Amino acid sequence: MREHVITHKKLNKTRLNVYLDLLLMGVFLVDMEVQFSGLALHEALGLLFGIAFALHVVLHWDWVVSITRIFFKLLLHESRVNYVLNVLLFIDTISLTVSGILISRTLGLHFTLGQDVQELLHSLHLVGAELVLILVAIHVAMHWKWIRANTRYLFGWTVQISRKRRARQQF
Amino acid sequence: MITGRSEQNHRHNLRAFIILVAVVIVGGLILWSQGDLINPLEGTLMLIDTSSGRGAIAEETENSPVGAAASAPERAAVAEPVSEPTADHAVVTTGTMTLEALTAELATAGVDVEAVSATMKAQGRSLESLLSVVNSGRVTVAELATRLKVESAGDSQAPAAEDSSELQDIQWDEFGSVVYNLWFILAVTAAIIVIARPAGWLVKQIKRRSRHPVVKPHT
Repeated sequence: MREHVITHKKLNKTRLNVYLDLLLMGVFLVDMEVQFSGLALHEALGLLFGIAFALHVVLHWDWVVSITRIFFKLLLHESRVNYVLNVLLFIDTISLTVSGILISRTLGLHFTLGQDVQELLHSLHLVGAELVLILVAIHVAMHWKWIRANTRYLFGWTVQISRKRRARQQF
Repeated sequence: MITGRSEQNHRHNLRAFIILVAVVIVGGLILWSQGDLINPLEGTLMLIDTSSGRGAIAEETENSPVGAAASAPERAAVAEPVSEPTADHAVVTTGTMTLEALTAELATAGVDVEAVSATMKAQGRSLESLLSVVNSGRVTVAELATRLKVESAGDSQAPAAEDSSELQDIQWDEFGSVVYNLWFILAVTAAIIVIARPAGWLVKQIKRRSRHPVVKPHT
C-alpha cells in the first residue's frame, strides 16, 4: 500500500511536468508565428508562455541549485553543456518576454518609447525569437531520453496496461 | 535481469529514434512540397531589414552562409535578385521588393491599399509585415491580393483590434510555418542524437588517455 502511494506521488509530478512541457511547446510553436496567430493572440500567448516558463523553472529548481553548486567541480561535460544551454535559454526567454511587453500594442500597456528604442527592441525581439527556436531545439534534443521515457504518461491507460501486464507476469 | 532491462531500453531508444527520423524526413518532404521549408535566419534578417526601413535585403541574403545551404530549392531563389522565374512551385520569390512596389502591384490587382493599411493598423499590423511575407516567398503578390480582396469584402464584420484575440484572427493559411517550427525542433533533435554518439566516444577516449597516462618501466 505504501509502495503504491509513493509510486503514485512520483507519477503525479512527472505527469505534471509532461503536461506543462506540452503546453509550453504548443504555446511556443503558435507564438513564434505572428502571421498565423495575429498580434493580439501572439501577445496574449506570449504572456502565458512567460508564466508557464516560470513554472517550468520552479519545477526544476532543485536541479538548478544542485548543478550550480557543483558546476566547477566534478561534473559530466554533458551536464555542464546542458546547464550553459539552459542559462542561455533562460536569459533569451526573459529578454523576449520583456521586449515583447515593452513593444506590445494590444495588451493595453502604453509605454512611451522613442522610435529608435522601439525599433531596437523590435529587432531584439525578432533575433531573440529565432535564437530561442534554436535553443529550444537543442534543449529538446538534450532531454530526448526523458521525453521518450515519459511520453507514455500522456495516456494514463498505457501505464495501467503495463502495470497489469507486470502483475500477470509475476503470477 | 539488469542486462535484459538495458537491452529493452536500448530497443525502445532505437525505435523512438527511427520514428523521429522518419517523421523528420516525411515532414520535411511535405513542408518542401507546400513551400513552407524556410530558412529561419533569412526570414529573420528580412524582417529586421523591413522593420528598420532598409530595402536592400539582397546583400544580406547573398552574403549569408546559410542562404547558400538552403534546404529547399525554392528558398535558394530568395538569395537571388528580383525577376527570378518560378521553379516547380507556385511561389515566386522577389527578395528585394520594396513597399512602394508592393502597394503599386496590389493597387493594380484591384486592392484598396489605403483601406487595407488602415485595417491592419487597427489590428496592430502594418504593410511591412505583408512585404516580409512576400519577400520570404511564402506567398505571391497575386495570392496576397486575392486574400486581401476577400478579407476586405468581409471587413464590416471584423472585430476591433484591442478586443480581438479570437480564433477568426488566426490565419490558417500560415499554419505551415507553425508546423515548420516543430519540424525544425525535431530535425535538430535527430541531428544532435546522431552527432552525440561520436562526440561522446571522442570525449571518453580523451578522458581515458588523461586518466591512464603511459607509464615508463623501471630500469
